[in-house]
Amino acid sequence: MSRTAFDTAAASDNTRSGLPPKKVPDAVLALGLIAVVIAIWELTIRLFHVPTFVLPAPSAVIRSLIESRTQLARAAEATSLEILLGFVLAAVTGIAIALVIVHFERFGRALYPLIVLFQNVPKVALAPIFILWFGFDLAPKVALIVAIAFFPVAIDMLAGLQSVDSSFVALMQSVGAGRNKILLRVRIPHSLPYLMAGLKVAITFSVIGAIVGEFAGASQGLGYVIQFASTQLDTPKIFSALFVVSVLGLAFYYAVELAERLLVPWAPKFDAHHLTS
Amino acid sequence: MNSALPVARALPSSDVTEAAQARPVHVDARNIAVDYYLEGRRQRVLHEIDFAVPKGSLVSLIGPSGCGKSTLLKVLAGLIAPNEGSVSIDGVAPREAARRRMIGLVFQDATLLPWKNAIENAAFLLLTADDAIAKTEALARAGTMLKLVGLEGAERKMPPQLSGGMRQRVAIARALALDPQVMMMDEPFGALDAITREEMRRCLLDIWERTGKTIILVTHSIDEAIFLSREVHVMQTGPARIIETLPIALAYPRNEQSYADPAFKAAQQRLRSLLIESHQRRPA
Amino acid sequence: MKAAILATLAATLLAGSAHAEDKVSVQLDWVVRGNHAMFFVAKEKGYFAKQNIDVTAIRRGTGSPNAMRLVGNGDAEFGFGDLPTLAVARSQDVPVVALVAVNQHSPLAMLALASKHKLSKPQDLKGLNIGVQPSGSTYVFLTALLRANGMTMSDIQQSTVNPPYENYLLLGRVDAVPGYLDAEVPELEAKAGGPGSLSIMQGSDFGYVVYGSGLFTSERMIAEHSDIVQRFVTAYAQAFADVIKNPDEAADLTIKENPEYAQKKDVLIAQIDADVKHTFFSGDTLAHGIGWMNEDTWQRTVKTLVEQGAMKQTIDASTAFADRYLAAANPAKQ
Repeated sequence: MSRTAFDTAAASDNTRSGLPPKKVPDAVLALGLIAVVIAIWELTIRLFHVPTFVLPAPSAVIRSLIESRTQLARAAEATSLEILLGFVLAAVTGIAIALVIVHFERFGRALYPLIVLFQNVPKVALAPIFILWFGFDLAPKVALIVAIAFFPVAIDMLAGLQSVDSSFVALMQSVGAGRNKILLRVRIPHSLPYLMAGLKVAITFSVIGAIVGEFAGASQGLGYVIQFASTQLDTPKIFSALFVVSVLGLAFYYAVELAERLLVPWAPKFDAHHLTS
Repeated sequence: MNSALPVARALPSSDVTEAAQARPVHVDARNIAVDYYLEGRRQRVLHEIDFAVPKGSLVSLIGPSGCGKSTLLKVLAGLIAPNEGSVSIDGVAPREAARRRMIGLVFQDATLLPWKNAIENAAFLLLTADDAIAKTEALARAGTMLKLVGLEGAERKMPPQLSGGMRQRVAIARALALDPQVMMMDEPFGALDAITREEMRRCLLDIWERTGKTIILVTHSIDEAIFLSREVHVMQTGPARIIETLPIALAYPRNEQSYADPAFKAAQQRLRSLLIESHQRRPA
Repeated sequence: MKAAILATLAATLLAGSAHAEDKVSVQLDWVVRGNHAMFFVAKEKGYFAKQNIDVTAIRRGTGSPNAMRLVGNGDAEFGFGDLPTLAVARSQDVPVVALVAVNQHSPLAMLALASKHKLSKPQDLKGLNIGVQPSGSTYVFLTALLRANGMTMSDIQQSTVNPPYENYLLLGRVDAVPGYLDAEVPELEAKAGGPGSLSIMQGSDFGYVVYGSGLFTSERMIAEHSDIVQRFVTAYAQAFADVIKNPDEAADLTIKENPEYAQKKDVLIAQIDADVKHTFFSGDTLAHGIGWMNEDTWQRTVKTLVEQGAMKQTIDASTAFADRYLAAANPAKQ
């Protein structure tokens, strides 16, 4: 196996490429980079006397984080519920759409441009309208998440369903396999890695969708905290809530990645670690 | 079919052509013509193809790229219906023959399912074709075929753990598991490196000797065609037709020494000049 | 002698041309409404130009908090917005200062469909389903109004709403919503069925004693360009008197600057009329002139905000406003 510059980037500890273990794993480097950024940020605020309402210093944000930790924790719980429900529904919707398009060919060809059309409508504008239609609580936020997040799931899974080698399909057809058999035994398992890629995008959209939905009208959740802090011009709190949103998003994303590793172990890796595979 | 391994049979080394004429025709293609529609215009891709493959023989189709060899194979396999002419496999039309599992297909790309291991892949077509067969029986048959192609011990390996040659062997085992009468192979070793190719040729000969199946091989390698086949059909483009059928006067069983045989060299020269001619005749 | 005159003339001319118009921009709190008219009147009638000021832009806004931020950060020189929000902003070290209290009394009121609920006193709100916007200035209004009348949020049912609130009320999703008399109320009334179709209970009648909206600027403007602030306030006060005297003309001039409001002339007039009737005038305006501010009301504003938890820490009310500019502008006493 030839070794290239990329091989040294593959695997954070080099166990895969057979090279000696790295002295500094990637995770540590990432944390180090964050620490440097925070330090520069703090220094800039102090040196240039930037007002807090324009850009708060990390120290102010951390203080706000600690002061409001119970409020933020409760808000995170509420938002997490919206994200989970929305994501699951978006995934189901996306998968169903992909299957429909593949199974009902003519209808699918007619449906596809409509879906793309819908995707281009800014969902932010739909958020207050959803509240009018669905009421105040969970429903409009879940609906908004579905509206935003179903698309990557549908598109990626569709790509997976349609990308089976045509000569393989011909092979199956020659021994008498019908469309359903091919769909169930080959197309669907083949599409799982693609579906996973779509789900990873969809979970980030779900987080955004939950916050946007809360902005439009909520009495709880991290989006609500951000809005309320905004009206109180409490910028450190805005940032601390944003930080919690980011961490939440990260946690959800890696949960999906873990699911991928468990459910679809044969999936080729689509991330920065595996540039050559 | 029982799951026991077939034993290698000794083949007569008498005059090859006479023996071929005595054998019944297994695959009979008459006056095949195929048109494709390119940019709205009808283009004849295959023209008046006539050829017959005797039962139990190993024949090759050779020709310049794009000359229609793969198209012809697909017609023989029942994947494409010809615009004119007919094909008969032991008296059965190709489509029906495929359904009856009389045909085993191998393509250049093994296309193994990445979520199944080697033995599951080898059993896949059989399980797809036959709703009645039990999984255990299908796996047993697949296991036998894997042994036949020399992959005993690799049954549980996943496709990424198999080399290119091993994957192609699984594809061959997958086709063999159907217990077809005819194996049709479209450049099966085209994607492999030179050493693996030679290994695979020996493997294919071995399989042929043990099973006695009729094998039609499409290839662009002169050496491969000569080494393996009893006769080589040379094709030419524009539109495609068979310009010559060259019998190979080499005795079986063949091995590395066969490459040095004068009959081999003679065949090489003949095929080379035929191919150069057909290359020059190619439409611009 | 001639040379001296010529020299003086030349010097004056040069000095005149050196004083090119001072360019400023204005940041509004929301979309254009009746009590924004002063800016357009002052611009169209040349009051700003006479004060050597060129108002380059009058930008519509996305809420009073944002207007405070933008002026505090120097993105605009002057702003118009909710003065209680200005106090909250100052508690967060946003350096903004009030110049003119246009609404002497808060224009906030509780609204209900008269056919369903009649609101004559705050106690009528008990048990009702009220639309709240937790991240808006109306939230503080609701909590403060309840508290001033011996009630709490647990006395009512809350449903989250989003502006525009009309739909929720008209669809019957909520029993009552807070609203601005000088903003959405005229339109809501029209949609609900005309004058009298809404039951309106003004907060200032029931213990909600805070200023409404007004003109403000940044500490930096006061420190570095005090003269521009003075000239601006002078022109503004002049226009303010015109708006009160002639709402029709004020609406016309607003439409001139904002053509998309061409069909909304009667709404603009209704909004100005509501302010004239309910919020522009007080004992202060009679004694000192329109737009007057006094420290007592400011202190009560701050106290209300702190009590309602809208402000984390109290501020020195005296630094929140600067009335000397208005005093020097000699505003009309009504």
